[in-house]
Amino acid sequence: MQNLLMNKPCWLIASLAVVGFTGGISAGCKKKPDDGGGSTPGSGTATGGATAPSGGPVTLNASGATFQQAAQEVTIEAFTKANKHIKVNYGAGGSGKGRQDFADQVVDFACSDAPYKEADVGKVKGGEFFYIPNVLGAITVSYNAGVDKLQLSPETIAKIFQREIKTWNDPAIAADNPGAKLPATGIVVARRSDGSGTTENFTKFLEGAAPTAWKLKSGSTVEWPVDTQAGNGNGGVAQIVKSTPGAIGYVDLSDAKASQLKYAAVKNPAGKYVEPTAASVTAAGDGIEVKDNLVFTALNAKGDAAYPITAQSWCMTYAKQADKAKGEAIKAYFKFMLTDAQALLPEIDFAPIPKSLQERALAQVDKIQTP
Amino acid sequence: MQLSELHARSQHADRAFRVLAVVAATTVLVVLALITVTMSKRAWPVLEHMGLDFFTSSRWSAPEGIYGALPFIFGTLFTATIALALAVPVSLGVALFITQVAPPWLKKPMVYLLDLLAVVPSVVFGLWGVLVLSQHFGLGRSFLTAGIILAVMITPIITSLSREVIETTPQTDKEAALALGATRWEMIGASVLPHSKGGLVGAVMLGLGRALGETIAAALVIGSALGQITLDPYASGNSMPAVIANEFGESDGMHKSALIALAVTLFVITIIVNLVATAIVQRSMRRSRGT
Amino acid sequence: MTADDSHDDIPVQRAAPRIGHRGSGDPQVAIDTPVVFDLEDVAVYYGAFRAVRGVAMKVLKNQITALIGPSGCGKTTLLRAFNRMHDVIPGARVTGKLQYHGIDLYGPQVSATEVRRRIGMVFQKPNPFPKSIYDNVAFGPRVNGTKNKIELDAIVEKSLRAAALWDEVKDRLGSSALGMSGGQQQRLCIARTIAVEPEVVLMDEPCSALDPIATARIEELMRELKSRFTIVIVTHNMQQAARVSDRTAFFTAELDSANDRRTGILVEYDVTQKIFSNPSDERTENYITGRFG
Ligand SMILES: Nc1ncnc2c1ncn2[C@@H]1O[C@H](COP(=O)(O)OP(=O)(O)OP(=O)(O)O)[C@@H](O)[C@H]1O
Ligand SMILES: [Mg+2]
Repeated sequence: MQNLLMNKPCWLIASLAVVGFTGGISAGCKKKPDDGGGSTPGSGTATGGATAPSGGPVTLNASGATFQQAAQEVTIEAFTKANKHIKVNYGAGGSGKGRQDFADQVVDFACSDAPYKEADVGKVKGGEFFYIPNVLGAITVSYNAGVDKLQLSPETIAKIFQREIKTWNDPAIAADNPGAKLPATGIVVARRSDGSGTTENFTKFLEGAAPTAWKLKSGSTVEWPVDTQAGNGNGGVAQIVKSTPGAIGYVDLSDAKASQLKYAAVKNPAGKYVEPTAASVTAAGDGIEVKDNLVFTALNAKGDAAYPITAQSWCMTYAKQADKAKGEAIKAYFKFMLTDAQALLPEIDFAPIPKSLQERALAQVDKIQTP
Repeated sequence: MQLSELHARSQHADRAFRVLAVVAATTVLVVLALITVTMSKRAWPVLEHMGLDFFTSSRWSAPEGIYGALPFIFGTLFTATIALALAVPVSLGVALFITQVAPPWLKKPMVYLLDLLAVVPSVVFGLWGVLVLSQHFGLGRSFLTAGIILAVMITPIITSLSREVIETTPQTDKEAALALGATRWEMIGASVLPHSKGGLVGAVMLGLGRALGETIAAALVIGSALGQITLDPYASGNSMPAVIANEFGESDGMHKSALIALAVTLFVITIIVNLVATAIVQRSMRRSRGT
Repeated sequence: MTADDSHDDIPVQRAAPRIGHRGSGDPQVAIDTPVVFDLEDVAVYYGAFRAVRGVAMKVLKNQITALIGPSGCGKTTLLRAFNRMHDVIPGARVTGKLQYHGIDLYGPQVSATEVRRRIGMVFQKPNPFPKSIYDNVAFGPRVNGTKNKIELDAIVEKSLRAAALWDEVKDRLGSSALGMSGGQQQRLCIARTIAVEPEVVLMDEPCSALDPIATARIEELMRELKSRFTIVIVTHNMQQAARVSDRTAFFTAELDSANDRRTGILVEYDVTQKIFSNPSDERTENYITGRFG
């Protein structure tokens, strides 16, 4: 027994335990050791494409943003009801994973809250691809401060989240809320512990709207001050806000509503304080500038009624499809997603994309070539 | 004739076994080498970018491209230390209780329970930590909470292995001490612990390996605070596996390389810990064997 | 066979009871030898299984008493009853009267550890602790409260000398006991046992793993130790029993009609000389002459 545990087997076993852990990360590398790929440990619902003969049943595999998971689920449900021979699997492993999987050609399409960086476009193996915008959604600034209504300007939000403003009755907050009675409670900042597109959009909003006040830059994770509370996922942050008096945090609209949180009206570029609603989100969609490849940002959009922390999401697929049956299925699914499915979004606290954008997106879908 | 046939057959079996053993051993080594090579290759960009600062500096800001892993290395070692300090005495005590003190009717269910606990997925412990320790007991998310969770997670496996190791102490060794008028405790000190020393260190090392590499539970309760190097157990902090688990999904480029470098660091630390443990064990065994 | 020759002329009494020594007419017994162990109707059980039963015998001070008999007849079982070694085996229990200097060994006030401090045991297989030679010998005195280094040094040397081991190991007292030969280890175990100055030393086939030279040394050792200790030895070696012991108890196993298992019984207990030259019981005679079966 001693010998059994003691000699080589001992460290072998233990280091294998580590291997087991790192192996999760390297699983992606092993398959394709030379590209910049990888996969999130523990996830990986997406698999290689099925090879269904054209005409027969077709399975589409997709992965990507958690932000639009609910949107994909309602779309898939409605779509497959009408198209019984097509099956769509959406693995919500995060935007980053979606972009990676798509670049590695292990999924048929992917969805992401952010487009590829310039440098990464070349790594997408399947050649030319299209961005198809399909959903808009609000990121709320939710709070638990014993006040019914709260208005916040981007500068104030920036200072709160950098722990420069530490109590609810701070003059800066009072200035945003003339006449309101603010408590003297301390502020507890809740933010994401995991890297996320929500953090990326929220910090991009601050970077754009409060460029001098906001110093932490933007990204899927930023260098949060030490005395902030970290929660896992939108749900984790919502939970901290709900259970901690004095807390404030950024949470997507559907999670904020599900947790019955109060959220602030945020000052937009037009100088108006706007609450996040389906209408104010769609209004943000009307005020955006869209590039030819349909890349845009809905943050800090123009228009009096536009909610400024509005995030967007795209689905991506290849311009030239390799498989006829799959290509046709993708086209059908994307068309459905851009038309009938748009009406389903407000029910789940997302907003449809504006009409003008919808037409351009449909035109793009028409350009998808199948063999 | 029959005898010589028998002879030949056993030789074949022998050779087959040897080949199998060599193949298995090489496979393990090749896999290990492959992992090390691919991981190191992908960790390289950040090491080139940060130099040794990767290991010695304390700021971690992906948007600014600054990656200093020291607080995470510290957090990993600190939580693992807390975990061991809590888990080892309890594990040893329980293992000794089960093997030396408990009456048979209690022993069976306890062993069963422990073996069950040893295979509970860590996320269950993690959630329990969030719900009970950080919320109900008000410990918040901190090094201590993470240390306690890790301790709870590794206690069953350390206990389970220790129990098996201790159980192998031959009855005659124990009787040697008892026959000299030793009490149960003196017997444990004279026969059980010296006999099991190596195995016990091995059990603790396996527990440590698990504590060092534990991702989910740590990620849930450690607090994910950046830049924390403090011996205050109530402070929020972060650890290497927690950072990897939290940030890998949405990372790209240099950020991803930095996270892989963290994994490589963790891998190396674990191997070093195990080599040191092996050395300690072998030295102690050599001493008691008298060679 | 020098000192024991005096037993030759003890008259054989055919009419004497087959079991026990009472009335065997050994003058030493009757007059001046104190009784160390006094057994009456002793039985040992492992759970429901009765391994030996009905044992009645007296073990005398400063004598070597040998227990012999075929394998499985309960010699080890009985020997372990002498120092309450059965306490550590779940389910094992001892019934009947087993007195040590007139005190019931299994009485409620008696502490097993205290008993074992006075009644030491050497096992069939050498079982030194995985510690240094010195620490092996010093272990017993230490648990008995001797902490003084000078005292311990003296005890260690004395015990190792008594076990005829000192000259072989005096230069490597700090090295591990597990690095010694089997014979050395067994002598170390004897040194370890006598280091606590017990009154009785129980030995269970102490030479079964040893070569004839080592065996001879240990037998010599036993004869030397006899003046200081009372020794009970289990052995399968007839010559050994005849060579070293003063008295011999012969056991055998008989089928228990109740449960169809074999239970050990004491067939005959007497002066060694008599057991080997003129046993009262036919079964003893068959066994010692090799006609067992
Ligand atoms: N721990 C135990 N549990 C149950 N039964 C036992 C145990 N130890 C011994 N026995 C049984 O008790 C009987 C007597 O065993 P014991 O060891 O006393 O015989 P022995 O005379 O010493 O034999 P040997 O000469 O082979 O050493 C045997 O039937 C044996 O199987
Ligand atoms: Mg025996």
